[in-house]
Amino acid sequence: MKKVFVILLAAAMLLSMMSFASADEPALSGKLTIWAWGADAEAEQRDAIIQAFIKAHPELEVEYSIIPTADSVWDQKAAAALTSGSAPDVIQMSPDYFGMNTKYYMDLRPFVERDGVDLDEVLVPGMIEGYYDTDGKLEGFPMHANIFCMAINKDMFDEAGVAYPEEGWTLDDMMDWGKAFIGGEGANKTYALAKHWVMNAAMPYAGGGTPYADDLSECYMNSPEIQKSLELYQKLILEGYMPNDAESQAIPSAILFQSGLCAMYPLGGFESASFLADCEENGINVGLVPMPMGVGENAKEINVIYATGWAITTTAKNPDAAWAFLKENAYANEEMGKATATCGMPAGKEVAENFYAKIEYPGFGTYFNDYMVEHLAKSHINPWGGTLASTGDIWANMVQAVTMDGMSPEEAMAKYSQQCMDEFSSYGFATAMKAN
Amino acid sequence: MKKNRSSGFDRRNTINFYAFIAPWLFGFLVLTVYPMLESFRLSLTDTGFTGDGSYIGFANFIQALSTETRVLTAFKNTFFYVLMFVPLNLILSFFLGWLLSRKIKFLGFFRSVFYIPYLTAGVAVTIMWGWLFNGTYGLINYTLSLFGIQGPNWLGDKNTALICIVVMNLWSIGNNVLIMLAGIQDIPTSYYESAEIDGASTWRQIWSITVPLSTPTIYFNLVMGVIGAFQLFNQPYILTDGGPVDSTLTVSLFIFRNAFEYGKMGYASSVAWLLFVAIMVLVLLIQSTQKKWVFYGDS
Repeated sequence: MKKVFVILLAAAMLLSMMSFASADEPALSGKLTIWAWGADAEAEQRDAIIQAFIKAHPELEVEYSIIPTADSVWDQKAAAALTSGSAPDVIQMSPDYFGMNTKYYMDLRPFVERDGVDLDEVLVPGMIEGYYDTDGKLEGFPMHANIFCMAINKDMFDEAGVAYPEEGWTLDDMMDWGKAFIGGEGANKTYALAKHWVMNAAMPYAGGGTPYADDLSECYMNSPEIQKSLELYQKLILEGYMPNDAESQAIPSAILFQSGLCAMYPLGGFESASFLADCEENGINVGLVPMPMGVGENAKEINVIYATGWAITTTAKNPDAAWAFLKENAYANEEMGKATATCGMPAGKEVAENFYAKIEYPGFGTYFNDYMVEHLAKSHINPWGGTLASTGDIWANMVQAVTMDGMSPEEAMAKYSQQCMDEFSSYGFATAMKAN
Repeated sequence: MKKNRSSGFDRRNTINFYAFIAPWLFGFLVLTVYPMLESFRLSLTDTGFTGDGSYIGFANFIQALSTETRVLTAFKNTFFYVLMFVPLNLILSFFLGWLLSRKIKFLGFFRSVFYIPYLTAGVAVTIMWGWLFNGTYGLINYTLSLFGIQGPNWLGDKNTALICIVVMNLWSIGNNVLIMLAGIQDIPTSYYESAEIDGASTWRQIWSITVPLSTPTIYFNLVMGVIGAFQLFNQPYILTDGGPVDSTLTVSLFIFRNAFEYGKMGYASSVAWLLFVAIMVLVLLIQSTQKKWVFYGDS
C-alpha cells in the first residue's frame, strides 16, 4: 500500500511538473496552414521538412502548398493572399526578399522571450540577423542559408604551375597569377574565373567597402571603395580573366568550368551536390578553396548569403502551432533540421555542426559544409534582393558601362552613383532609418 | 394586336441579344475594364508589392516624365524599335505575300516555310537566335570569320543589340504574310488581265493595282504592328535583360521590373498608362491619315 502511495505521489508530482511546463508552452491543436515556394530539389526539401513536422505533431491538421517561383507565380499568389487577408499561418520568406518591413508578419520576439531561448546558443552565427526589420521587429525565422566557396580546376592550376589560392587571397592577387589561365580563341577560349550570376551581388564588396550600411541608413554607392570594385570588375573582364555578359549568356558558367575552360567557379551551397557530381562525370579534378577577400584594410570576404526562412502572418489563426513549426525547423526538431540540410546549411547550430558539417562529398571530405558553417558570419546578405533590386540594376548598368561600353570607372561613377543614391533614398525604410 | 406582337418580338430579340453577349460582356468588364480602372487608381498611389500604399496624386507621372531617366531611355528604345520593325515588317510581309500569291512551283511548301516560324515557341526561338548572335560561339560570326571578317559582339554591343531583336522578330512575321496574302488574293484577277492587255509591266501592276487595293490590309497590319511592337517584352527579357547598358530596355520590360521585381505597383501602373497613351496617340494619328491612303473596294 505504501509503495502504491509513493508511486501515486510521484506520478502526481510528474503530472504537476508537466502541467507547469505546458503553462508556458501551450498545447497545440487545430489546423495549421503553410505556404512554401520551390521546385525540384527545393520542393522536395520543403516537403520533407513539413512531413517531419506532421510526424512530430499528429495532434495538428497541417495543410500546405509548395508553389513554384517561376514566372512570378509565387510573388503574385503571396502578394494577393497577404493583401486580401487570406494568407496562411506560416509563409516562406527571405530576408532579402519582399515582405520585410510591412505589416504582414508577426513580431516573433514575444515567442522567443516566452521560450526563454538564447538564439545565439541555438542558431548558427550570422543566421538570424537579416530577419530583424529596421525598427527591431523579428519578422522571420531562419530555415537555411547558403554561401559560396571557390571551386578550382586543380589540373589547370597544376599545368600552369600556379599554387592553389589560400585563405585571404584577393582579386588583386589574381591579376598576377590568373593571367596563366587566359588563352585560346572562340569556342576554345579559356578564363581564370567563371562569371557566375552571383558576381554582380558579390563584387561591390571587392573594393573593400560595402554598398550601404548594414542598418540601411546610408548608401555608399558613391564611395572610393565602390569605384575600386568597378575598377577590379572592369579589369577582370576587359583583360579576359572572366567572360563578359554576352559570352557568359551563351555557355552557362558551370558548364564552362565543367568543360575545362575555366580555372575557378564560385560554388553555391544550393548547387554543390549536383555541380560536384557533374564535374566528376566530366573528369574535372576539383579542389575547393575559400572565396577571395576584398582589398583594403577593413575588407571582408567577397561572399554573399542567400537565406530562406519562415514568417507567421498577422492573420494567422493558429500562431502557437505556427511558432512551433518555425522554431522546430530552426533548431528544435532534429529530423526537420536534417531534412533542411539537403538544400543548404540548416539554421540550427546543433544540426549544422554535428550533421550538415559532417556530410562528406566524395573526394572532398567535409570541407564544403565545414566551410559553410565557418564562413557564414563573414559573408554579406545578398545586397540586391527584393526592393533593393532597383539599385542593383543601376549597379549592373555601371558594370556594363565599364565592361562593355568603354566607359572608365570614374565616368561610370559620375554618371550612375548619384542615381544609385537617389534610388536608395526613395525606399521608405532608408528614410526612416536615416531619421532615427 | 399587331403592335403587341411586334413589341413582344422586339423584347425577345433584346433579351436574346443581351443573353448572347453577356458572357463576353462579363469577361470584358471583369478582365479588361476593371483591371484598367484599378491600374489607373494604382497609378495615383505609392502602392508596393504587398498592396500597401496611399494616394499621391500625379506624383508617379511627374516622376516618370521629369526625373526618371530610365523611363525616357525605355521610351526612346521602344520608339526606335517601332520605327525599325514596323516599316520593315510591312514591306517584307507585303513582298512575301505577293510572291506567295504567284503561281509558282512548291507554293504550298513555301507558304508553310514562311508560316512555321510564327508557330514556333517564342522562348525557344529567342534562345536559338541568342546562340546565332553570340559574339564568341555564334554561327553568324563563325560564317563571317570564314571570309576573314571579325563579327561584332552582336548582343553585347549597345549599338547592335536592339537591331538584333528587330531581325529576330522579322523572322516570325508569317501571320502578317498570311494576312497580306489573303488581301492580295482578294483583288479580282480581271484588273491584272486588263493591265496586261494594256501592256503594264509587273512592277506597274504591283504599284498601281496590288498596292492600292491592299491598303486596307496594310492599314490593318500597320495598326496591329504598332500596337504589338510597342509591347516588346520577351526578347529583351530573355536575351539581354534590357542590357547592355539599358540599350534594349523597353517600356514593357521597365513596367514588369518595377511591378514584379522592385515591387513598385503604383509607379509601374503610371508608366503603363503612359504607354497606353503613347500607343493611342499614334494609332489615332494613323487613323486620321487613313482617308488619304487607304482605298476600300467601294470607295
